[in-house]
Amino acid sequence: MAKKVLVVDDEADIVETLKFMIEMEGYECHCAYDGEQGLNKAKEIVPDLIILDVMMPYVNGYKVSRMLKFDSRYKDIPILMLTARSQESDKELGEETGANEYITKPFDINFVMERVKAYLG
Amino acid sequence: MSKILLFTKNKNRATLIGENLKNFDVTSIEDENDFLNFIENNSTDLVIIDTVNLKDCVNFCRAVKFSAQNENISIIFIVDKDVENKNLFLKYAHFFVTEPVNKEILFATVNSALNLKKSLGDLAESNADLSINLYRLNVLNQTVTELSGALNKTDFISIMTDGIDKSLSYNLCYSLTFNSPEDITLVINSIHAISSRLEEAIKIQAILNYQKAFKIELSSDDVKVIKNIKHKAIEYDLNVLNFDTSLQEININNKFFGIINVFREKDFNNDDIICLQTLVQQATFPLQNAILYEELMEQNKKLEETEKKKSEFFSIVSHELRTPLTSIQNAVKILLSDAFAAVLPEKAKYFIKMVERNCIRVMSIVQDWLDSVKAESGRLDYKFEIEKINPIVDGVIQTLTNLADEKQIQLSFNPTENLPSLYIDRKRVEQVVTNLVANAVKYTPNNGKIVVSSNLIDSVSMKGMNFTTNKDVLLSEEYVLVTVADNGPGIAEEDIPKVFEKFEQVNGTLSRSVGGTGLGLFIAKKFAEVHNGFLWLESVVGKGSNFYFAIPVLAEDERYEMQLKHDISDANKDKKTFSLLTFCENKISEEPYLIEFIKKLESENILKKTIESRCFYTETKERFYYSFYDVNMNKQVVHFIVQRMMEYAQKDNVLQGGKKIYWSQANYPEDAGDSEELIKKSKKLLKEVL
Repeated sequence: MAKKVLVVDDEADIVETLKFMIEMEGYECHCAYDGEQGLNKAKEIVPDLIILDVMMPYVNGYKVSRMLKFDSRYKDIPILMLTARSQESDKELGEETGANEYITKPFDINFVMERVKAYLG
Repeated sequence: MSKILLFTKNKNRATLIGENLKNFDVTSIEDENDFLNFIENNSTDLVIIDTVNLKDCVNFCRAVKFSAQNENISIIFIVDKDVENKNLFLKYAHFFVTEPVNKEILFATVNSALNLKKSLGDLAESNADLSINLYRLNVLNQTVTELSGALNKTDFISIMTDGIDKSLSYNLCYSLTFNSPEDITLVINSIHAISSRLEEAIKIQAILNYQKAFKIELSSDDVKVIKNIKHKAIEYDLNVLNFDTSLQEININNKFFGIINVFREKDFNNDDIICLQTLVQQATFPLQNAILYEELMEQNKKLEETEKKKSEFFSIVSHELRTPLTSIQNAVKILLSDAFAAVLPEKAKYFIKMVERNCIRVMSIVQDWLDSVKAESGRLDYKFEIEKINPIVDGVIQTLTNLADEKQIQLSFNPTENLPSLYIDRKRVEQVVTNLVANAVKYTPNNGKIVVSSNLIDSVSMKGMNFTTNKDVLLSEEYVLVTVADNGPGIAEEDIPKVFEKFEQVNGTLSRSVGGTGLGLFIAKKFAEVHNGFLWLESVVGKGSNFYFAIPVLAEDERYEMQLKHDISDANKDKKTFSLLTFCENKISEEPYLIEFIKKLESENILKKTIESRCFYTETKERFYYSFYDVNMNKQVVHFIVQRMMEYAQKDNVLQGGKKIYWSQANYPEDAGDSEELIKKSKKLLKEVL
């Protein structure tokens, strides 16, 4: 069965581009457009990898990450954090919340796909 | 011994008086001319004139009185017992003694006259002292006044030394001042030129005095010397240093140090020293202000530079971004055109459309940057015209419906029909409404509801609204109110003031709901202000927000004033002069011919470009037509243009049946500092013409 990737970003265009590439690689792609939706979907489908944006309405990416990483059922799902903020403190905060990797926007989609492949084999 | 001069033709009397006044130095003269010469050429304390049997007595007395007055001499006349007009003698003499001369009386009179002279002399002397003190007081007063107006340290030092010069008349005065060891100035004020070795000596002395006073090490190489010499012909040498001298210190909050040393050939007395001290003391306070002011100016300058650089940076970045963005947009348009329709798969088109969409987004962000920078520095151009609000709002809603549809938001417009026309810049108002509605769409969650409405409200209802904290703000009679109401999350009361700030997105950077620059509402508010309008909001957390945009409904004259205000501020910005031409017709007829006439002139290119006509202004009985231009034009040129207008009017038979057109010209900034004054001035001038 194809591995499942969950992409969470409020920017629909970013979700769409990632989805296209992920599906091109033969993975199954699920999408969510805000933190709450992302959290629900993660719990529902239990993906093999989550690509998570930080700046989102209502529930931001850090919160989503923290909630998943503190739940033993989901803590092993690797999380790739996307953010437009590149300050060091944000990076630290991202690591503290348990994200596996931190990618700053604007990102190279090929690089993201390399990372995705690295996690999913 | 007091000197007495006696005039008498009677030899016996001369001898007699000489014996009587043995204690005095008496000179006796018989001839009138000799006598007058003697008075003029010798110092005399008292004059005795024997007028008995003197011919042409009056003229001689007058001549004596005239000479004696110059020298401040007392005069005693000896007069005949039965002389008719004693008053005449009193006019020329201080005392008179009648025949026969009693020696006791003469002696007593001479004594009182001499005492009087002495008292007068004393009085004059103390008067002179008093006047010197008065003069100094005056100088002090003047110096203090000048000092309080001075905000520059160099001015300040020169005002102070000027004051010292006036009140003490020094030969040489130097001041050494500084607020940082790198910035030391030695100012030497001298009546005569100074030799180079004197200059060197003064420098060394100043530094030594300085070090003694403030315990600060100085090097003579760091000292900048400024010399103010009154008369260059003569040169002072080292002997000046032997003059009497008085040294004063200045120390302000350990920030500014100075010494002043005054040299004077005439020794200083106590009053002089007090005067000098007072002058220096009086200088301290304004100097403190001057220092603060200088610091403030410095900071201000830095701030201005930073702000300017920031603005420049933004405009450069914006312009640089727009060029490549335009290329991207055009390339995308080509890809999406029919030429490639058959070649590109749907999925490719989908991504190209994504590029297009995002390009537009970046463009609008760049536009926001530019607008906000320009709005802040007051560099935006506005074009006011008479417009209706409903079509503008309608257009905005049409454009944004797609955006709302994406989130299944119900976006509707409830217009009030027959709203009065507004005097607005259509594009800017469109931008305000767009920003408000787009903002509502951004923040309202999916399946939400946004209702836009337009209403007419009067100033009384406006007062009941929460649009400003300033209760004294002047309101227009009526406003058109555009309301954008959403049922989004609402904004907490403490966050409301932040909403219109630059780069502000309420509720945090991380759980940011929407994209954008945080400039939209900031720009919208600026634009509202330009229209003399207001932008504000009311919100309940959990229920939604209402944004209000009120635009004043302006009467003709108000429109005119608003336009003029903008034109003047433009002229001011471009450092241009600005003239207001005011026209009026002498007959208020049913068919106002002036309007037609000027319109015609415009169509015939007589007024085009040089004079741009704007609008009308109606008062109870006078009809004014205002035109203005914003180029540097002198009165002759304007006169020429008006001349041509009048010629044209005659040729065209416009001015028949006693019709006349009057005009006046008021200039900014020489006649008036703002639009209101300019209008007043223009009207006043026109009334003078009428």
